[in-house]
Amino acid sequence: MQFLKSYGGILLVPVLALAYGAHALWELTTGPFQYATIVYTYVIALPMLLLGAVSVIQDLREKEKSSGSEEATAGAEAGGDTSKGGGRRVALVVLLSLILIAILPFTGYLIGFFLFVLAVLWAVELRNWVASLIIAAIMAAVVHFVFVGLLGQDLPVGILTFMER
Amino acid sequence: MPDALFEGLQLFLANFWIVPIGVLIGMFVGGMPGLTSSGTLAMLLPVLLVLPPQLGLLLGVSLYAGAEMGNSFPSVMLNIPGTAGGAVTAFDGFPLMKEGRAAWALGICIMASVVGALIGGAASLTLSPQIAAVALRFGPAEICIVILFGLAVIAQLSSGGLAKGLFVGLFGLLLATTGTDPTFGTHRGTFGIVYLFDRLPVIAVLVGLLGFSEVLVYVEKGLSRLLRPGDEQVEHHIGLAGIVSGLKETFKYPWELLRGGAIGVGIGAMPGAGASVATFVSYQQAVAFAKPERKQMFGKGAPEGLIAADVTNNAVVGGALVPLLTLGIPGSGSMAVLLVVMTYHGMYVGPRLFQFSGDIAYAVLLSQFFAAGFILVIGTILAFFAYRVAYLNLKMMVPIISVFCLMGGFARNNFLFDMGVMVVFGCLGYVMKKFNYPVVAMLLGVILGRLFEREFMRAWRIGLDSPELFFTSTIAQILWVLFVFTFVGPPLLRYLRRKMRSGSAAE
Repeated sequence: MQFLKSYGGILLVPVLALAYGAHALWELTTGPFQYATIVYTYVIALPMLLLGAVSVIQDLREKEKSSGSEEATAGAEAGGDTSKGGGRRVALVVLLSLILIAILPFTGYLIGFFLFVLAVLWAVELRNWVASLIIAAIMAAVVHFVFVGLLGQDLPVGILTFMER
Repeated sequence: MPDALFEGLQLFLANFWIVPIGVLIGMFVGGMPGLTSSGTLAMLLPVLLVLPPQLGLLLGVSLYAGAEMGNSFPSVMLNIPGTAGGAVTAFDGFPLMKEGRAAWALGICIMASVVGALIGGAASLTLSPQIAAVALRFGPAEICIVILFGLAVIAQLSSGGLAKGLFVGLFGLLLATTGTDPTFGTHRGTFGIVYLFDRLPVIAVLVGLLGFSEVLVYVEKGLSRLLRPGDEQVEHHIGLAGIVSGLKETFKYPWELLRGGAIGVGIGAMPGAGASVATFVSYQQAVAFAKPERKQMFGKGAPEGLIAADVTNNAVVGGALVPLLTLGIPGSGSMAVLLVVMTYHGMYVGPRLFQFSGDIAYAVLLSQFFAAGFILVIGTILAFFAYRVAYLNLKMMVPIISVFCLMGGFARNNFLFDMGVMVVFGCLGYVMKKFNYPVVAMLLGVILGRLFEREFMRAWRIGLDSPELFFTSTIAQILWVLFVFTFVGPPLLRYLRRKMRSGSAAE
């Protein structure tokens, strides 16, 4: 657990690349692919995995070197000037975005975006409810008039079936 | 030709009113993440077909030119490029905005775009036949090498180190293989998800990696404003004076303007390459030829970087018109829509276009000069209001930008799934920024991956399953030499210059 806490961030991107690269190579060996496709994927995936390993080793070495120095550690992590509860707020905004995507087919874009904006404003700790309601209403209107009306985007109307075009 | 040119001028003057409308719509479209000029032109196709051919073509070309400039606004102000070509503008534009110099940066973008449009216009008007002949000799292997010029940016710009840059660049190329194999039609990396059968939605990836990740960074830092009017640490260039100062600043870099313009015209004339490749190549060249002390500034607010991106973006429009008007080959999606307009009206498409419809062809070419003028006027007016975004309360901006990002992910295909892809890549971009992985390198890989793979496959098959074709043609060999020179040349030249200087000082 301690290892994950210390090195999880450094390893996250290389692990994702490793997983995707391994999947791509495995798929090639099992699927009905042409020789040229296999060559192309290997030409990209193998150097990628090699360079991923090199960058992880570099990062781990750097982390070990700087572990004694607080200043260097702060420099290594871009989020050094993070305010209190920053991680929680990020997780909330991401979660709200995913919830919006999930509920859009049911609530429709007008209600969905209105609630999403209100919730995000609450998540980023804007406690002026009048301003929040106004911004949420304006954004729902912008989505309706600009994206749906003017640009013809086909957003789900959900329960507001009378808005169906 | 002079007769046709004169008739074209007359025809243009009778219809020039459509140009500012096209530029204005284009700037709006370019400024909206996820909306591309080609997509909007496709949506406007019914209108373009109803209009007389000259009006439809003038509207299309001016919209394309306006969009190439308009994408600089969100790139500079919000780090959300409107199009793939605008991503490079964000490298140096956004850091300048954070320093309180957004008006100055936008001034540079506007003037560089104007110069780019003028260079593109002049080149397409005078050099059309010659450029088209050279561009036609570029086969798949040569196009691959040109793309490698763009990918070389990874090696030269990665702040986290060369290995990290190349690693995520290749990861991006691998991610771009998701979907249907362009040559053989087999599905790869889709995990059985139907929405990925076509390909990874590039615009959603782009908006996520650059835009939504930035929102998450703000949310984490808990900033209330990007800039404060009373902040003593930041010297603000507010209002028209800042914009005008930026407009003037552009002319201090004539070589960057000329080089970027030439790259834009050249790559724009190559079918399939487009603004995304051209701007990355131009930026890479600007870095390669910069003095060592200026090199450090790239990615932190170098005006040379902004100029390289924006002059090329707009010069591409002129370049893309060359194969369309002289050979009937559309160099980009926008040009393909214009080709449809031309054929719908029964215009001769191909080398004899200037013979049969010379007046319309010249009217289209001449319109670029007027579009440049309107870009200056409309761009300045918009910039006067746009830079104020930096002073807004970020807590209010977070949901607003998030909605635009979500809609940017959705707009291209109208799939809610793409919104999810945008959020996932936003999270990935946020982690990458936190641990010093160059997000742009991955983006470059994803954007250019499909084109690179297609051309690689074609070259591989033409070479009968051998890489021979990449090294045998004269053009390929010249390109390889130039490619190597890009890395070796500038330091070598500087070394020789230093040696000569120290030699003359010793004497």
